[in-house]
Amino acid sequence: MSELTGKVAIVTGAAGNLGRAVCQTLAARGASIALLGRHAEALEATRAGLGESAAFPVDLVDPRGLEQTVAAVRARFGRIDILANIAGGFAMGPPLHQTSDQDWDRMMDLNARSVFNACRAVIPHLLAAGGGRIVNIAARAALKGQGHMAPYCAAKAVVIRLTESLADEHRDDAININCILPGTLDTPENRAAMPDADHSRWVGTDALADVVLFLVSDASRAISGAAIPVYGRS
Amino acid sequence: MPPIMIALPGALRQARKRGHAWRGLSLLRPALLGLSLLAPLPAPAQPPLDESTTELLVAAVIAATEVDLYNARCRSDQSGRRTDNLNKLLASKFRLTVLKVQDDLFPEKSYRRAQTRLQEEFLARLKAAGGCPGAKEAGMPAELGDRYQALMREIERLP
Repeated sequence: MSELTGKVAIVTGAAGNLGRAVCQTLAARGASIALLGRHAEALEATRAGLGESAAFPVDLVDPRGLEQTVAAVRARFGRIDILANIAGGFAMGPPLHQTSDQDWDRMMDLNARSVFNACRAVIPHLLAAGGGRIVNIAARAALKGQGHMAPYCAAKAVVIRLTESLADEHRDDAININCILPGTLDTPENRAAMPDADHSRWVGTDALADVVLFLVSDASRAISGAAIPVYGRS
Repeated sequence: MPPIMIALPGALRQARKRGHAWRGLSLLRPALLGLSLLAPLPAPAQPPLDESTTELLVAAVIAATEVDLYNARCRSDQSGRRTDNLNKLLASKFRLTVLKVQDDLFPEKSYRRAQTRLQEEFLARLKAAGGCPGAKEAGMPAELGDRYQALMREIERLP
């Protein structure tokens, strides 16, 4: 049997660059994958070749919709073992004093509220199953604020504190909760935005997906509440 | 006292205004005590397991693993449900996990090596029984299930 055979993983932001890599990596180790994201067609395209999997289009900011979706995942697969909160997004903007409510809310919703909602919806199922794993994606920028990035830095800092608090709440429930702090990811979008950068120093999505794999595997059983830097050589 | 100024500047300013800086500081003590209570407290230590409990937990992990291996091999059921249920019971009763039992209480002191041995031993036993059909004929599924249930009940009965 493969390492994750029989396990069911929910992957949010499944159709994004990192989400696709995580889905493929976990599926290759035998996990069944529930792909969550906003765009049904993109989710279906990501499903191709994944094996046991199903797409669940949902807005992660809508707690009621997410709760129903997680219940649907449970009904479809019979269990939930892993939550990989991959959904998120980055945007630079004006200085903070010129930042609009909409820009602030967008970064918070995309990066922090989505994690809060997903954890809140999934944890009761992990408790019922007797344990599980949650991996959140924070960012290197969560550790130190930077100009023109305040909403993003603040939202990712929320993810770290949320991870620590959850890990503390569930340290005796066999639920391990950790987050990853990626440096710059090597994606087509980042290459287009920074064509002159040394891309070989960035973190590949497959390499980051391997860290997610480690954190959902039995090998990481002694780690919970950690924020793990994955910077490549950047 | 810069840290106090940072924590409760309003209270200190008021005390100074009244010319009772020291009394002001003493007023802050309960607040500081409250702050110290926010620091993480160490989890209460679990009493060490006695020999019979240790043997029981090891036997239960073996029993759960064997039922799950039989179901995976002979019934195409990869759910690992028995191990999950045992995990839940261990977490609620002892703050332990199956992995922790395999790491700490099995002779290998490594969950990977313990799982490998259990799998190899069970598959050898299954082969010796004539594979899945032979094992079924010999009543192995019922025997494994009964043993697992009995050990689960025994753990549930522990104080």
